[in-house]
Amino acid sequence: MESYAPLALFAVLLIVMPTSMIVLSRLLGPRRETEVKGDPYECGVPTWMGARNRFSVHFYLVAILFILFDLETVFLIPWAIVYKSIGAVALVEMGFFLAVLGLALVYVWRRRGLEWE
Amino acid sequence: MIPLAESATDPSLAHAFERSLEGIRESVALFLPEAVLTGAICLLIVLDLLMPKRQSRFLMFVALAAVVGAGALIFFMRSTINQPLFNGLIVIDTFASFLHIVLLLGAAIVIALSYVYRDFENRRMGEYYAIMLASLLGMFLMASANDLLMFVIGVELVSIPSYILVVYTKEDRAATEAGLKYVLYGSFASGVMIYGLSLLYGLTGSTNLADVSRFIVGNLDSFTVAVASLMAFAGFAFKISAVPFHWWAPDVYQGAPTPITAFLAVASKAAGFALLIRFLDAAVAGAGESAFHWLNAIAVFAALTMTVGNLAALWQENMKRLLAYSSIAHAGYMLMGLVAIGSSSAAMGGHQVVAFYLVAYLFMTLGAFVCVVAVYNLTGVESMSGYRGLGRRSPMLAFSMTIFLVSLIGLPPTAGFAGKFQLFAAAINSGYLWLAVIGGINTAISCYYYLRVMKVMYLDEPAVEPSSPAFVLDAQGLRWFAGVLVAAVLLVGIMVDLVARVTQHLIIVTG
Amino acid sequence: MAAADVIFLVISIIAVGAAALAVTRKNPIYSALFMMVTLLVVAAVFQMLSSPFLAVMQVLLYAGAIMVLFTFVIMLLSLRPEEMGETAPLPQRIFAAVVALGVFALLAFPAIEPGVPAAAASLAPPAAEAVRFPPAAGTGDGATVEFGATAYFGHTIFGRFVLPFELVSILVLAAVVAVMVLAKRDLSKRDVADDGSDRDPPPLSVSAAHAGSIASLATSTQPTSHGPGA
Repeated sequence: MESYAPLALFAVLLIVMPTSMIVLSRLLGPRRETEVKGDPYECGVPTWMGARNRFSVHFYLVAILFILFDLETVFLIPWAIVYKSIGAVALVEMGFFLAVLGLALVYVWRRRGLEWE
Repeated sequence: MIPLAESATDPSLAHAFERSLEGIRESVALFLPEAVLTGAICLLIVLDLLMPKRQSRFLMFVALAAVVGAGALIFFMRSTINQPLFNGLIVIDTFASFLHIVLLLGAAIVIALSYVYRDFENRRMGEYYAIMLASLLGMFLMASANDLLMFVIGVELVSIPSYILVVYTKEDRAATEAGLKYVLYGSFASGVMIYGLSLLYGLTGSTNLADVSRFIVGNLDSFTVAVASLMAFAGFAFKISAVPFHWWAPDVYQGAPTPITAFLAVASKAAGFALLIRFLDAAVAGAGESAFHWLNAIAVFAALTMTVGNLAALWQENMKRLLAYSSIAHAGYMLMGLVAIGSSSAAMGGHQVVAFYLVAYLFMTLGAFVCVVAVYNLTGVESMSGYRGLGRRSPMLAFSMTIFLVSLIGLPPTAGFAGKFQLFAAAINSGYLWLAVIGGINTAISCYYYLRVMKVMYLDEPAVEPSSPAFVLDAQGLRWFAGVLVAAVLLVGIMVDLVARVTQHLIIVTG
Repeated sequence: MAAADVIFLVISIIAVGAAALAVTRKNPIYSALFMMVTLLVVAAVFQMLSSPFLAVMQVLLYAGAIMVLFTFVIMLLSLRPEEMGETAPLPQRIFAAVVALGVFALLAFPAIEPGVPAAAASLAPPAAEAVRFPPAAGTGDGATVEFGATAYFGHTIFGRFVLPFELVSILVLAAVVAVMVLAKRDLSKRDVADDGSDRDPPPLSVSAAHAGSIASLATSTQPTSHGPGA
């Protein structure tokens, strides 16, 4: 359990720092509300449409593909840790797995799933 | 921060690892049929990328070759062996091999049927066959699963591809709706199933079916075991569309492309029964008489399923929907056979009569769907009106359909009669006379809607003119296709003894 | 009460509270955020059960990736308040609560049923041995492979359970193909629009049509007739 002491310290810092920043700036800073300040920030450009638009379905495709390939990492981490003790067999096992997923990637690429337009 | 452990150098660990690797090496050779399917999935995807859309329908032959190849390998390599593979994760016994052959037969027919289906014209088909083979691979695993983990992987590998197959004609509103319903019901059902299986794992500390079986047999009266098993059963029941987990079936069967409907009705259901049988065999077969309340539960599910299916079918005007309810009813008949699973008094055990019935069910149901595709290709209609006067327009098609319907009712000399006879005998021999009586009443009810189709075909005036001359040629081929299945239905019906003798050798090995 | 008990108590209260809030919020974004809290807290439970690997994966995959996907769906639909629908009528909500409590009772019972855990302990030795791989929480040469450690997962996945591992790759391949088949409708539509006149992407057309079809699917009264009791 001692090995988690840094984690606990980190968590405490994580909570204390932003909280204190927000509280302090609210207490100490001057507050002058103007209409411009209330606008959503768009890189200095005047806002020209509402914020609640529907997003293109393309985003969704990207998100799903991300998750599917994210799965690879989950298996790569334990694999990397035990690779040394298992040896060449591990290479074959992971090789097949990655080859199939590579095929999936090629498929997405050739079907133009990675292109925006 | 996270303590990732160093690679282990523990000698006993290394030894255990070596042992499990040894088991895997031995297993790979016997896993060749599944490897063929896997290779075909990858090959189909590559070829589909290389081929223009117009030619992609010819990839059917690649898929068909893979199915035939896998079948040949099973026949020559695995038809007599009984042994666990991959350290007991799956088991190849005669029951698994038999189911594998049945699944391959169903898949081959569905693949060929997809080749001529009208709505698949001008569509990329390589992906379609690849996804279908992935689903088939999952069914293979379901039929030979010997570990709760393989239950889960198998069911997911079947389900996720089938969701997509259902919406393959996605411009079609009905198909989209069907797909949405299928995904929602399906993921919920598999979620419940996984919860049940994880409870069993928590209770036994093992995912191996033999260990789980030993635990269940020792704790048959435990409420927890009952809850866990019932939740697992929900997943199986969804796959075989047993009441009360059948709600998805009519909508999905109606909305999906007809070859996929056939695939779900036959292959998916067969795989679901295989899994249910493996689970029940593990839980009940060793327990003998003390498992009577489990069998009573199965009997109640069977009675409900066949009654609901048959009563709902009476009202249907859409042929695919009618066949959907009919397939629900048939799931009920097959559940009826399962009450004999623990009984030693019956000549054939529950899993044997169900395996036999699955063969009969495969031929007659696929045959009926071939006729549905033929009529749809000719007229563009799936409702009853498309069948009016079929007896005059296309006598051979109408005759084939009649044979399939007669077989679905269960009249001699068809396969349906032989199969149903054994199901009833199994139920009566196991002391479930009341269930057999309900089955008899249901058969009488089912006569009404099957006979009504025949009446429409032979006595009503033709209403719909052939709409697409381009498909008449294909319909010619479909007629022969249906003819072959008619021959199969009649052959199984006549050569009952032979099929029965084959199925008598089906052994279930757990552990 | 030991420190671990206190931590567990706090964690479980947060998890259950956030889950309840996720179900009852009307705005889907709030539901998603509360669900994320639940998922994060469950990661802490995994950590307490001495499985750091699962804990990290829970954060990476569930609280991270899956929740991003949820948020994407909500953004894709981007329902205005008036589109979010009515709150369910009271009888319906009571019914839902009763069902939920019933399911909870059913699932909670295994935790308290007497006798069953004892039976699990008395599992026959050969079976128990086959289960535990590596054979024991081994300590050799200073290296430890404890149940739940990442190396334990590695040895289990790449040893005994290598078959399911490889099958997962096929499953992912099928899922990728599935995603492309489903999304291609919109891509091909874009192809058609490309040689057409309007070059600038219409902000609403594709996604709005998509969202509209989903919404109408959810609400349309279906022409397909059900059997009795539908």
